[in-house]
Amino acid sequence: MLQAAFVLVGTIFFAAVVLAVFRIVRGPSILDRMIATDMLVATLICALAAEMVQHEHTRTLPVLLVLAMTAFLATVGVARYVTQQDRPGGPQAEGGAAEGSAEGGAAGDDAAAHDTTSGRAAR
Amino acid sequence: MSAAELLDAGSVLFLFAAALLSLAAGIGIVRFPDPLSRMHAATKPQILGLVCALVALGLQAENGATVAALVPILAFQMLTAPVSAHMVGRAGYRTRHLRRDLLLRDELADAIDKAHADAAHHDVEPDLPGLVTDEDTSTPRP
Amino acid sequence: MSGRITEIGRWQGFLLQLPLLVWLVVLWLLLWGHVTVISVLTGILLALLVTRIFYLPPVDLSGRFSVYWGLAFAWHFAVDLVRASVLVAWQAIDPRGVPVNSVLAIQLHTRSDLIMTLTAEAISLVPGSLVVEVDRERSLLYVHALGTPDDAAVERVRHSVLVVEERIVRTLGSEHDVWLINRERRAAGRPPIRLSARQRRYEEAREGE
Repeated sequence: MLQAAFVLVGTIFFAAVVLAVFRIVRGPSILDRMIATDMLVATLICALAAEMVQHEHTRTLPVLLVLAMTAFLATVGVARYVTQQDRPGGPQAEGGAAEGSAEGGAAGDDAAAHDTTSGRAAR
Repeated sequence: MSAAELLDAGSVLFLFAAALLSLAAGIGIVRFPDPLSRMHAATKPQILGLVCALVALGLQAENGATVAALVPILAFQMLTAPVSAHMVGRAGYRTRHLRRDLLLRDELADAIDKAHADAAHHDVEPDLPGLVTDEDTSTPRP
Repeated sequence: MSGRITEIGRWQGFLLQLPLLVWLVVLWLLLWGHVTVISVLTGILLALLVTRIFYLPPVDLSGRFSVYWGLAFAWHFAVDLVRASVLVAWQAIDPRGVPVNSVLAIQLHTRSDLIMTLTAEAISLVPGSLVVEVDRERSLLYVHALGTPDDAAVERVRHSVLVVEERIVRTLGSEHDVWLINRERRAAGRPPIRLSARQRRYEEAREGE
């Protein structure tokens, strides 16, 4: 009885993952793919938890933790890259943000943002 | 019915809720027409689904250490999910990845238009709202 | 980072950083899953190291925290989360079609960075609303809201964000933040929040200016 319920839960998770993968394949934009990837990871976390409940162990708990901590990094990176690529020398593009590669630009923007914040706090 | 069986049933119910939320998110992500709408669909399993799954785990936990390990998982997800949501939302808006015909109101576009109009009138650089570079993404909670 | 800090400034800075340090140590202990002398010591050491290396400007804490309103905020947040999740789930499968959305400029009452950040976090965590842009200078949040078929729904979203801000101010806002909220509420003909003797004195002093 309980095992049947677990199979049903697993099937629903699988369906959700298939839908997310569909969106990753279809796109159309990179942002859609990142959103779908985000959702895929969230579903994966839930599914891992379900598996732990079913087989009564806690071995994958650290995996859950690491996924929860780092899943957003890729999304943030891509979002930054997309924003910068779209407005070369945009209204607020300062110093390193406007020029160069995506990585260099992102790092420059980051540093600039930190400087403004600390500068303001020091007033 | 014993206490253990009740806990098992409770766990399965919470897992069901998490699974259904994930499925609804999957349907939303396929059905919604633009990235910003899809973003809303994707945030659901991230928070409530995760809470449900963690509660299901907590009900099965034998000791306090396992429950304690669940807290940082939720804390990290709650701290980081809005960051990625905001970054994607911002990128989506700025790069015009949204269907304007599906918007009832767009007060950000109004504000940007107004800033441009004012700038043209006074012959200065437009004072664009929202386009400040310091974001709330790097500030941890106290 | 700005160069020289006076002795008093450094001490104050340490006190302001204390909540962050405590949170980091608690997190470290939660990650280990047990409390021993070694784990506490390494936790404190790492917390100091992390706050030194990844320096952030200290957050302007008001120094007050209302446990009652904190719990009320947590409860309302949980209720909102469940309700909004179910609502968005329904919108996703609603056979009548996809929802109409809006991007709203929402003028917050307060100027505090901390309250603005917490408000943005809280409303981003609830499905159906998403912060697209932040105008820190004018303390405006640009919120993308899912499912706003008419103006009434737009005003509901606007109202719900302001209510969240109000709850956060009640929990940890400074006297100035509470005064800003109260001024708005009085103008709208609603009773002010949290009128302690101290708050009343502060507000009288501000109104007198």
